[in-house]
Amino acid sequence: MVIFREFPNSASDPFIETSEVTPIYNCIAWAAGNTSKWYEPDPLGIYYWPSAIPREYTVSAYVQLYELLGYQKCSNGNLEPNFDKVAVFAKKSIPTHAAKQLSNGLWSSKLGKNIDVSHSLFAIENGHYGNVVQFLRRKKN
Amino acid sequence: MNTVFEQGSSTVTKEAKYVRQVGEVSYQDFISNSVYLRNEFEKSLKDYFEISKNLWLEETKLSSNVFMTLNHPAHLNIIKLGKVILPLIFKDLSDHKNHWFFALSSITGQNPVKPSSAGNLDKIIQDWLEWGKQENYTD
Repeated sequence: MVIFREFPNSASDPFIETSEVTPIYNCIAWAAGNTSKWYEPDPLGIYYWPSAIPREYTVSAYVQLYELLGYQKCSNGNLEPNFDKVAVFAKKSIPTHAAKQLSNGLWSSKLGKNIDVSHSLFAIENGHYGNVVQFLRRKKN
Repeated sequence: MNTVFEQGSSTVTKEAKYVRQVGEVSYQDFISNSVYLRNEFEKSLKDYFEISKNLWLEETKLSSNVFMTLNHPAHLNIIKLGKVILPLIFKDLSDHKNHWFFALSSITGQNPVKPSSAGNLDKIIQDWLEWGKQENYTD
C-alpha cells in the first residue's frame, strides 16, 4: 500500500504498488500499452509523439493519441466487460496524466518517473494530476 | 604627473589600472594552477549539483511532462552554471538515466537526438553521450 501526499485521497484509499521505479516510460505510454518509450509532445522532438497528431500539450492532442489507437470518447469510467478504457487527466486545461482500466474495475497508472500503481479513481482525483477530463473506450479483441 | 582617464563612472590612474591588471592575471594564474583550490571548487560544484538535482527529482518525480519541469528552480539553478556543469550532468546521465535533455539543450544550444531515437531513453542518452564525447565533456 502506498500513500502520496500529492494525492490526498490516497490517505484513505491507498495505491497498490505494482512495479519498480523506472524512468523508461511514462503514464501516457503505459495507458497506450507501450513500456519501451516515453510519450510526450515536447517541442524539441526528444520524446515520442505520433507525427499525425499535433505536438502540443492540449487535452485535444492527448485524446487524439488514444483515438489513433482505436479508442473512442465515452461518458464514464464504469466497468464494461467488453471494453478497454482510458482516462485522461488535466489540471488547468493542461493534460497531466492518463490511466487505463483493469479488468476488476480498478485503474492502473505509471506515476511520472516513479512506480506503477493500481488504484481507484477516487484515490487519484483532486490531487497532483487534477481530475479526469475525458474517458475513452475501445472494444476488446 | 599621473595620467588620469575616465573608466565608467570612476576615475582611475594609469598606474592603478596597471596594478589591477597584474593582480587579476596573478589571481587567475593562482586559481587555475592551484590543485587545492581546483579540488575545492570541484567538490563544491558536485555538492551543489547533487543537492539541486535531488530537489528537482523529488519534486518532479510524479510529472509525466518532463518539459513542464524545465522551469523548476533547482533545474534552472543547474542550467545557470553553464558549461562547467556538463561533465557532472553527463556522468549522471550515464549512471542514473535522469532526463537531463532540456538542461543539456539549454546549456549547449544543441539537440543531437536523432528522430529515430525519439522516446527511447537508452537511445536518447546514447545520442547525447556521443555528442558529449566528441566535445570532450565525457570519456
